[in-house]
Amino acid sequence: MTDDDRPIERELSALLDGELTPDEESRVRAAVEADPVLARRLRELEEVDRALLALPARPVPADAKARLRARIATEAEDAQRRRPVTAARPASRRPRRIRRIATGAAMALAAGLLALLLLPMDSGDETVPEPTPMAERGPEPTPIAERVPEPPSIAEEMEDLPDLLAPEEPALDEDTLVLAGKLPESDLPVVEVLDWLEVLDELEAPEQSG
Amino acid sequence: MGFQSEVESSVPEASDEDVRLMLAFSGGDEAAFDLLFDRWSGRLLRFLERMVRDPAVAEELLQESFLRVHRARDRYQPQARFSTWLYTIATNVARNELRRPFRRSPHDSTDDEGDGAPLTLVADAPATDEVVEARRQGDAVEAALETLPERQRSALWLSAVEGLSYAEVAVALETTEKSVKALVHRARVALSRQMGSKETPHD
Repeated sequence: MTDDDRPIERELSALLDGELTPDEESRVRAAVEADPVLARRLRELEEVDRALLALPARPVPADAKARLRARIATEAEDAQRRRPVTAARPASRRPRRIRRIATGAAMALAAGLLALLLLPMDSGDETVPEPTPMAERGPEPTPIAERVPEPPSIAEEMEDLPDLLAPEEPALDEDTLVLAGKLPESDLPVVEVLDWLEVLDELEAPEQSG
Repeated sequence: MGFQSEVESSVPEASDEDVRLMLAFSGGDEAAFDLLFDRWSGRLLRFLERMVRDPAVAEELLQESFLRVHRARDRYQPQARFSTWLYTIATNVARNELRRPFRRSPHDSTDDEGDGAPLTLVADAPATDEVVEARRQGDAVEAALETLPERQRSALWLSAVEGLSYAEVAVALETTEKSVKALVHRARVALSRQMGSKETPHD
């Protein structure tokens, strides 16, 4: 058993660190006064603390705070960039996307209707065959044209289009600015042709007056 | 208790002011954060240098520690002294670095000779006999410190130099007070033996 294994030895550091209760401290100090070996051990441990406190301290680099500030700024920018796109996007862009989808849908519907109108159909004197008894039914199927319900007239369709094309935001939005050459043309889809035509009408007046 | 009061007197009694500054920073006062950096960066850098034994890495860890303080501003609760919280952060940052695989290790902890100065801490100064002797002693202590296991080194430094209580060191090291008491004592005894053995040839 070495000196350091003695229970009283283990209390010397606690004595130096002020971690003993008053009773414990009195007991250890009494033991130190009575035991020269213990007294020498305490001095040696005190010397360790003095040596540690005497160690030179290197000054903090002068630019340390500036570098920290730069890192904080970079981190803040990164956090801003990582936010969900929907949260970062201005609210005004959402109606624009909805309008694009609606415009596309309207164009597709119009194209479909046009195709139907151009198909040769005997829609004028169509007659629904009278119910035929099952036994008399011939093998030939009913013509397709007879199964298709009468399409709405093009005039009726055009009445609905303005609602679909009606802008949900002020007319002079990003599209307008793109068309006016004030913003770079980016990802405007082809389906916005009707949109453009509508906007161009609005642009005519200020451009001519200017 | 004479020496203990001497040690304590070298530690600024700044806990209340630091907590106040941290709360001000939590409330949006960025200048308070700058003040905290000014007050604590030197001490923290000194601690980190002893932990990782590489001045450049210690500087980086100093930045990382204060970056974490900055990130935690909204969550800060003054449940302990600011220094305890700060050293807990720094200890974790240093531990992460020490456990990083393939980390650069300028001085292996088994280097019991300590011939080379582990840290270039002393600025250019007139090399008087006293300065040379102080450097020699400082180098010997640094070398001896390096041989200690990480937990002993940090426990002793936080207690003897930074003035944290055993309870506070236990928080920073995520252990018990009893364990801290043992760590600190073993570290002191080991350093004492090494310093004694190195001084013998010069006596």
